[in-house]
Amino acid sequence: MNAGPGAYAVLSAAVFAIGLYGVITRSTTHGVLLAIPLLFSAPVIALLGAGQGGGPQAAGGALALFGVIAAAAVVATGIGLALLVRRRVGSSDVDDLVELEE
Amino acid sequence: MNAIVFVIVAALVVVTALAAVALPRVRDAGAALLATLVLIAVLSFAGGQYLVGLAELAAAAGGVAAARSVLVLGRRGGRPQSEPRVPRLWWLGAAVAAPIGVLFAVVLGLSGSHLVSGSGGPGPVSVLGAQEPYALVIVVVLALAGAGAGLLLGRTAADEREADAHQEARRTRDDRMRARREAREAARRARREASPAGEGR
Repeated sequence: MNAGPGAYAVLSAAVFAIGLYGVITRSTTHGVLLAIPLLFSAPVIALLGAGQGGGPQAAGGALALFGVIAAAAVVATGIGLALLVRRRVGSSDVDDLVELEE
Repeated sequence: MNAIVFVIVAALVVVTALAAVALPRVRDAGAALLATLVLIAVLSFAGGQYLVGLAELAAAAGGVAAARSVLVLGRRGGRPQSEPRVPRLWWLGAAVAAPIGVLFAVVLGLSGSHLVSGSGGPGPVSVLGAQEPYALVIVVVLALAGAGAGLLLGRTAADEREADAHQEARRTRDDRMRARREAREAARRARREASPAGEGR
């Protein structure tokens, strides 16, 4: 018996929920940055499920590849921003940054 | 992919993802995230999506290099602080994430088998490389733009290098003055002990 797209979709939903929880609850910029790839990984998993079977759905693999590259680009930019903020402000606490803005 | 293998890998993905958002130390959470990405790459390979798996592994390797730069090279501003063991907003995170997760799981899980139809057609390599070459160019540009933006934003600017040099010079000067003061005091003590008055004391 093989795992169908539905099983991939359920795993995708679980990973998305975990990533969302991390983005909301993490208090530091690098903590949030660690949770963001999980949010991006969720649709990649769903697309992998859709890309199974070698049909026209194999385009799902192409979209998944886009998702992986987009996630890497976002995280690279985010790490750069986090480094810049930590060096300039001296803190990586997200709440401190909000207070700074006010 | 075999259902049993899928369940085992899926369980590991969920456990490592939970660890990535729950572990307080950045280093541990980063290692858990790395494990999650590698497991997703395993899922990709097992599903026959080799290009996606390779991209996942490359992204994970890039993540390790970036984390090393944050933890080791980014000394300015101190080491990244740990998260609190129990997050302050855990209830809000759980209240938002749990219903959305359940909603996605129910909707996608029930309709998942109907999402895909048809057979035969282009694979990812042909879609990205042969049939739509501009898509491959977009992927490359996206990757380069992301890496470039990260390097540009995270680089040590000229004013920071100057401030670091000033700080280093001040630290060296303070160390030298402290050593000189200690040498003077040691000499004074030695003189006092050597003198007759010092001996009488």
